[in-house]
Amino acid sequence: MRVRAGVALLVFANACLSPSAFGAATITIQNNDAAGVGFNDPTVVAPVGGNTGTTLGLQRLIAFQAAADKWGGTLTSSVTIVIKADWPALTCNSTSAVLGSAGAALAIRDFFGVPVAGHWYAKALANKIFGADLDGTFPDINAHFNVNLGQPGCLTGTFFYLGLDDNHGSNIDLVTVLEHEFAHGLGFQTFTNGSTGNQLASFPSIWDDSLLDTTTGKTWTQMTGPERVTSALNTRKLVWSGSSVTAAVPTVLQAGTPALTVTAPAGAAGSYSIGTAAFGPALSSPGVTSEVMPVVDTAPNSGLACAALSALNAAAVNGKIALVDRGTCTFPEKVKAAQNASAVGVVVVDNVAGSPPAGMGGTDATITIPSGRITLADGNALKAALVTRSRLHSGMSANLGINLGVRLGADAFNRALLYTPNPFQSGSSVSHWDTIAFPNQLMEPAINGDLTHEVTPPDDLTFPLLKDIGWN
Amino acid sequence: MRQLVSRLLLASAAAVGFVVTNFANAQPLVESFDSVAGLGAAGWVMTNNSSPGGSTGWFQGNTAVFTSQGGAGSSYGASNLNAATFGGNISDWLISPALTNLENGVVLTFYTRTETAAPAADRLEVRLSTNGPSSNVGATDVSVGDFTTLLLAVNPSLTAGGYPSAWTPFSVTLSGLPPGPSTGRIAFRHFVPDSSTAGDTIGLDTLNVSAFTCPPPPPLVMNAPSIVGAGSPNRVASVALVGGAVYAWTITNGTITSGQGTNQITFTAGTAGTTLMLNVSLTLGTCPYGGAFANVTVAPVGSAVQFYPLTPCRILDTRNAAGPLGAPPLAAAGSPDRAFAILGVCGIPPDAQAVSVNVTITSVQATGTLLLYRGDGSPTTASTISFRPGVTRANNAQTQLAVDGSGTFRVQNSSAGTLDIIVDVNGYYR
Repeated sequence: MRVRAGVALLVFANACLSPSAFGAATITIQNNDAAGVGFNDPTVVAPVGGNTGTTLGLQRLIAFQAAADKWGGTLTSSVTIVIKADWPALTCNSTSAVLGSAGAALAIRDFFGVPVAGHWYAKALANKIFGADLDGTFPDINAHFNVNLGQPGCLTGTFFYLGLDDNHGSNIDLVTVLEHEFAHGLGFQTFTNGSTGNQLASFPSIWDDSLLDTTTGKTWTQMTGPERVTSALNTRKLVWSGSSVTAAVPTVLQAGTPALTVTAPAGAAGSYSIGTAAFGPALSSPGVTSEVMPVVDTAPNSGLACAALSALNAAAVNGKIALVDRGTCTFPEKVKAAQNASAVGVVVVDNVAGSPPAGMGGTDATITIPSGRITLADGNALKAALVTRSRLHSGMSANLGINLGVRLGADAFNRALLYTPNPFQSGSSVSHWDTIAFPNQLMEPAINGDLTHEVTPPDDLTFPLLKDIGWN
Repeated sequence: MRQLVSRLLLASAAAVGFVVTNFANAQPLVESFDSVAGLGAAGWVMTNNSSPGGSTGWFQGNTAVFTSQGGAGSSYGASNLNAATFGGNISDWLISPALTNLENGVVLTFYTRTETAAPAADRLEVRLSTNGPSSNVGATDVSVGDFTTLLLAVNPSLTAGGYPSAWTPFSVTLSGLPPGPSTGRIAFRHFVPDSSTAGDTIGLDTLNVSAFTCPPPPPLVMNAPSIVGAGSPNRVASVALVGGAVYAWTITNGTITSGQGTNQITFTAGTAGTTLMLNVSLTLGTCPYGGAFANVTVAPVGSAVQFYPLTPCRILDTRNAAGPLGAPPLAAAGSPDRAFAILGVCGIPPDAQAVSVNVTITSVQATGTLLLYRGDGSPTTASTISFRPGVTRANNAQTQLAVDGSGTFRVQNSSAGTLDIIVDVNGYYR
């Protein structure tokens, strides 16, 4: 159930224009469907959740207009925003589907009055700043939604909920999906290719000025192409540095992020993302703080902890946070082995590449110490910092728990995290919030069932981001 | 006579002396391991021959394990179990820069320790190569390459708890090397089999290879005559024998005739009236090792005599079996005066000029006198001892020995009968 955002530069013939003036901006839906399909589907349906339409096509259009009106009531622009939409058959199978995709129909730079020269702006934003339509031959946003959703073989049985009251049950709330996609078209996206690092026609997007990599300290605008490729995979280290979002984060995102926080040695210090365990005590604050000591029981240099620990390994982890490796046996077995050797916590290093770290499944009611998983890359970094350890001491001091100083979905400086999984996910990476954000955010790459229709604080960070790139 | 001996001995002591020299002559090596990463630039070599090799070699100390013996907390070198992979054999070498003046007596000191309550045993070997600048330790976990000399091992048997858990000084003095400086390296080898059960962390700090210090020379006194006759040969001077030392003698107003380079020389005196100066300097390896000198008065021939007492010793007895110093008894007057060669007998040295003796006669047949005189001289009218038949008599006497090199004296019997003579020596002049 991934919602896709993309840069759509194709132009379709106009079919229908349905203007609507609402709030401070006017957003119109341009019906690009052929007769009898999509918006023009004549299938008779009962009104649902405040949607008074009596045909399937009409209900779709009303839902579209509701989402458009939400944004229209939030944004300010003297120029009408045109969304050209249709309902094609998008990729899907019985268990997953592309719900829809949308993006700015045109990127524009260096127009008269542009705030930052040499940067791409989404057309709707450029028009708003310029005060008139810069190119009437293009809509502002192209949007496509999956006409087959719920049909056999296309996320079978899960349909778009067309009501306007968010009472979607087990179906997918279309208004939410529309709000998400329209946001991309309004500018919630970069025109720079995250998998190649290439800028659109060698110019950065206005978005890139606020994309800050906290490892390098550079924004995407400041980086080379290869640096952007690396940055796009720098999980939970790519943040939005715009001031509106940062100011809103404390009121939107919940405090407390599961983390392995290493305070020494300096070379390894930092916050490492944790995939939480389904067994044992939940990570908490202040959590457990101790020295990190590796278990090593398998040549050449791994610690599987699938059996009772040797005397030397037991001495190593006694009273410490044990570092063990994923593989061969279950997560609970590893944690239990360390617990039996008097470890106070366990960090499992993944044995395959990828980030962010997944959770750890399994059950064992006898486990009483906290545990979590870190990525293979993070594990290797920690092991490198542990090579000067002795049998009993490493000097690596860490806390395993909930870091109340870090909000879920932001860094320690309240800068919201962008979605940067490894491997790269085309259409999702970089142009969404990280999935760790909580409460769930409209602009995460997957639509969560608990989303409201709100796009502003204290519920949501989408409008603050749009303000950071020039909307108001 | 007693008074004369004392004065001469005093004169002898006043004329000699000794010289003391002592200085350093080898490069020192001091290392406090402030920067292990910088050791390579200083000429150190690190070779990790652990098998299979692990993730680290020698590294900067980790203060969480223990702090340094001196300097900043991390200012020590360390090697640990991670030099090998899990279950591998550790052979992790830290090799000093090439040292050009390694020699016997050079002292290596360093401190080492493992962590407190270490649960796994460690071992450190300290090895020496004198193969020039070579840092060859071979290529396996058991090879030592050119470092075949094991100077010292800490916890050689890998005893649990056998490695010191607090900084402990160790010292080794180089020995068994050929004389003089050698070029080589000193290596520290963390050497532990099977890292799955042994090997923890060892630290190395405050390393010092001493500047080579020449040993202090002993006080040295030259034994030499205080007075010699002009041109007298076979004079002897000596100093104590020091094992391995080389002696360099110099002389003024005289000529060294043998023994140069040894602790004893023979010399011939020069002219009268000029002081003869003797000097000897010792060298031990590359070290000056002190010396001694003596000033010798050169007197006119015949007057340069000093008395040397001897424990009384019988040098001849004509009652004994026939021989140069035995039978037959002295013949009656008219026969040639018998000569006795006594150099080398009873400690009389080859350069003795005269001897002090006690002369006893017995088995006297007729009344008469006996005269002892220089073997290559002529008898005088003086007598050494008078006698008559049937009486045994004794008297002391000094008699000059032949100056022709034979070292003899002669005995003239003026009586008409034979008699036996017994001579005991109690000293000599030279």
